[in-house]
Amino acid sequence: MLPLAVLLQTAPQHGPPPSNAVAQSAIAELRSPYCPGLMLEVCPSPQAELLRDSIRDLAAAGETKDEIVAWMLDRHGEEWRAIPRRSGVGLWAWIVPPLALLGAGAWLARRGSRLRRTAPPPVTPGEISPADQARLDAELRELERIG
Amino acid sequence: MTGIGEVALWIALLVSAWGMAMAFVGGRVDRGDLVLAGERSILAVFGLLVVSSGAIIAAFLGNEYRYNYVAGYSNRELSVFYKVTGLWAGQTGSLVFWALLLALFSSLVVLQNRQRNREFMPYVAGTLLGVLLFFLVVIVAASNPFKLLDFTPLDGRGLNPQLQNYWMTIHPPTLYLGFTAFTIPFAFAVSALLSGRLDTRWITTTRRWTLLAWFFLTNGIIFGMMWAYVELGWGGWWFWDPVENASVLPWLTGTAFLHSVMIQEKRGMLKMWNVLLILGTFLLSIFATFLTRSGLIESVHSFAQNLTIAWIFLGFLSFLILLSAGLVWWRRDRLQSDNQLESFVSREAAFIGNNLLFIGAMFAILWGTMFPLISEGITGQKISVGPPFFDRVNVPIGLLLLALLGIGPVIAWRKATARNLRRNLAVPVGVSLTVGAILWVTGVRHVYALLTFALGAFVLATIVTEFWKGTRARARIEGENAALALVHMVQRNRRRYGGYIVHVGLVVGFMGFAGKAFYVERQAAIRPGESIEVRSPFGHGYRLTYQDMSAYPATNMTKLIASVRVERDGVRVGTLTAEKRSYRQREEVASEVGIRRAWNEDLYLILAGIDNPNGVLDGTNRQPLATFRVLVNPLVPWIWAGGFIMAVGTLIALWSTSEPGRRGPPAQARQPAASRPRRPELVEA
Amino acid sequence: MTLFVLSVLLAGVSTLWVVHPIFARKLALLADVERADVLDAESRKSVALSSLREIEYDREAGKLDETDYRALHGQLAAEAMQAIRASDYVHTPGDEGRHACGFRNPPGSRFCGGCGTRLA
Repeated sequence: MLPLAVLLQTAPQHGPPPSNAVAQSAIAELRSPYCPGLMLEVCPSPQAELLRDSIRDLAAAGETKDEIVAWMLDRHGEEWRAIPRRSGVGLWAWIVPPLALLGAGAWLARRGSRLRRTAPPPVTPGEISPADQARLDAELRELERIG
Repeated sequence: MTGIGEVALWIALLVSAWGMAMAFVGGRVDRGDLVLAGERSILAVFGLLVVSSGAIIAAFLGNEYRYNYVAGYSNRELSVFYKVTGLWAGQTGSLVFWALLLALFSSLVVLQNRQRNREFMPYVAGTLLGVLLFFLVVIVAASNPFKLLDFTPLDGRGLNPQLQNYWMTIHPPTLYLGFTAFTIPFAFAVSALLSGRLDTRWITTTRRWTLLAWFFLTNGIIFGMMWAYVELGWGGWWFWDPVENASVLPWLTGTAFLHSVMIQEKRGMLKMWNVLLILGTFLLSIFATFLTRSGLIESVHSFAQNLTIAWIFLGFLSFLILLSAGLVWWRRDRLQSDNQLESFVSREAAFIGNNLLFIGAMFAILWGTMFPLISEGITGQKISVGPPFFDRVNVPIGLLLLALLGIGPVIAWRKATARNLRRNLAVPVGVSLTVGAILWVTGVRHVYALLTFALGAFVLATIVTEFWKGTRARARIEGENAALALVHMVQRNRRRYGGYIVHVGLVVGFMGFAGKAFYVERQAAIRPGESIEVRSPFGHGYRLTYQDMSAYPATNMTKLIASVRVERDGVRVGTLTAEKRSYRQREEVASEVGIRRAWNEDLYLILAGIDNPNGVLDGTNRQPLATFRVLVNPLVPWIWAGGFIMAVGTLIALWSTSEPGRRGPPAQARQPAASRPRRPELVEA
Repeated sequence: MTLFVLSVLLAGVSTLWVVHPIFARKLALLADVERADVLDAESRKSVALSSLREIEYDREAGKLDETDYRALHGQLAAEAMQAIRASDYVHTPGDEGRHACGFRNPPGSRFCGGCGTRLA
């Protein structure tokens, strides 16, 4: 916990300014037209930096993330959208994983409670004889000895 | 002379086919000689693959560019080190290397089990030889490293500069060690299904193999992250690239398996689930190899597209799925639980929840990775699924896992009472809320980051309490002093306490991931003497002053090196260099970043561009304008620290106590004859 | 030429090595040196005893309260004693043909009358 405590003393004073955050989230949703296969966020090309700059300017001018993304896709083409839309075919990408998780969870819960209802009542064993108890103790000591 | 390597591959192919047949037939008709022939075949295949791999390395060292493979991945100027590691630099060689590792592990299994697990061994040997046979067929049919060129070039094309890195030489072998080691528990599971011995023996006897496989896979993934971080020069360590995802899929199912086998060992439950998990883990590791080599999905990692290989892998994968499903269906009666879940508030239920989350994450990643293909197949429209998708889907699952990580250890097996649970969780929850509150007060508003730190503190608090209470209990029960009690406690339960240490590593790593929420970035084009300033999220400021640019012609490349003076809050703390390298042979340009590491953050410097680089080389451009990208990456060192802690924890668990049934003579063997056991019937009467 | 000789040598040695057991009637073991029932009994015993030890620690650490502890302890102690008897029994020489738990089942039984395990 000590490192955490030290971290806390120097923890972030301010979050990033809002327009910067908007720009960042817009950039994160776009692929780079200048580096094949790379996200705009990490593309090292100078053109990509110009594009990132324009996006920052738009964000500073008060545009929302969705407006900026739409602006970029208008200019360069729909294929640079990095994550599926929340409508049409793209919606399936978003809803299937959580639905699968919820479905599996519900199935497990039902199965578990059915099993529990049909489970036999736990055996209530009688007292253990002193001889057995002594033997158990000896075996436990043996287990302890050999690890 | 290196041609012997190809001959060895063909002999290995025939021997593995022969051995597989002998082992399965020998196991079926109880013929010890046939089984021995099968087991010897494994050792023979290993020997032959050593010859073959040796020949590949010799071809690299001897600059034999008549081989397509050597010419494609080496040249005369390449250092000896990278010539040796050329064995796994490209697709064809890496498949031979893969088969070599599998044969090595298979041979160790044969030697380990000459006296024990004999009922399993015929089918284990047969299964292992079957997998080896598959890889050898792929190698000779579609990916032969000894393929000759029509002519002998004077020099090779050289190794891709991005692969000329320490982490890149160690990352693939570690990953392959993990994938191949998972073949061993898989083979035992298949053998258990075939022979019908479906008690816990196949699990306990392969426990160390499973842990070893997990150890290598975990480290392989982390080494890959380190490589991406220092070599790709994008400032990140994980990009949700299809091939990265593919390596994580078997890791997730393997981790689920490590946890769920404990329920079977303790309570005789989840037998079918465990079989399915290990079959799935192996299938996913084959799937990962397929994805890497088929070129089916756009990825920065892909080896060149090879459709023959893609089809062979797809065929093998389908065959394996059908075979696994058939075997499990056939043996479904013997895979019933011995016991029932007694309560939803129990360690069993927590483990089941853990499995649900791991499989949920696996499914989400698999779904996102395949979605572009699926959407294209169905609608004809290719939809990209980029990193933000995976972050959004997996971060909530990760946070739930963190929460469960803290609750799991304090719940008792079978049935826990709510009152006890409340009492045991009071302190950790208090710690967690305090940490969250302090972070809130200091201005952290990022929800996921806040939750990660609060839950992380929660987990650490439960683990510390676990160690403390366990030590105290032991000190009281055994009458030992605290230090001795701690050591003995860990020694007697290595898997449990080693596991807790792995959890600590995971939490530290997660906190490192959360640091990404606070990264800061600046990019600017400046001339020597000018500076860039960035402010760290921890509050201090950095000023980076561009000093000069120098040119170094080396044997196979030209380096342009910018040196930058770094001041922290006005105090000079050092110099960073960032390079652009242009490789003559391959006409490629690569960047080398400069990283200043502190315990809590990295200052990461990228030389993004140079104006008129030729002028720098011939001395006419004395004040070159350079574009720098500066990043402050908070908590990145914690990711590596977390990985290291996880490795230590796994080693502790791996250094396991012996298997049950191999503890030497039973207690009563040392007892006097008078106390010999009575017959149980008499006890019952 | 050397390549040819080497290839033949490699093929010959490999073939001899993997075919030899069949001609020489060299056998691999088909069953463990230690009897399967002994191994099973030993592993059941060690699991039962470890569980018993674990609840001891769980009570001491405050994870189990007294009532739960008593109930679990009785149950686990009974299981452990059964496992110990089975283990003792398989170690007693001269009693072949019994189930691992020690119970002598009538021929053709589908389940063991002593411990309820399904019989092969």
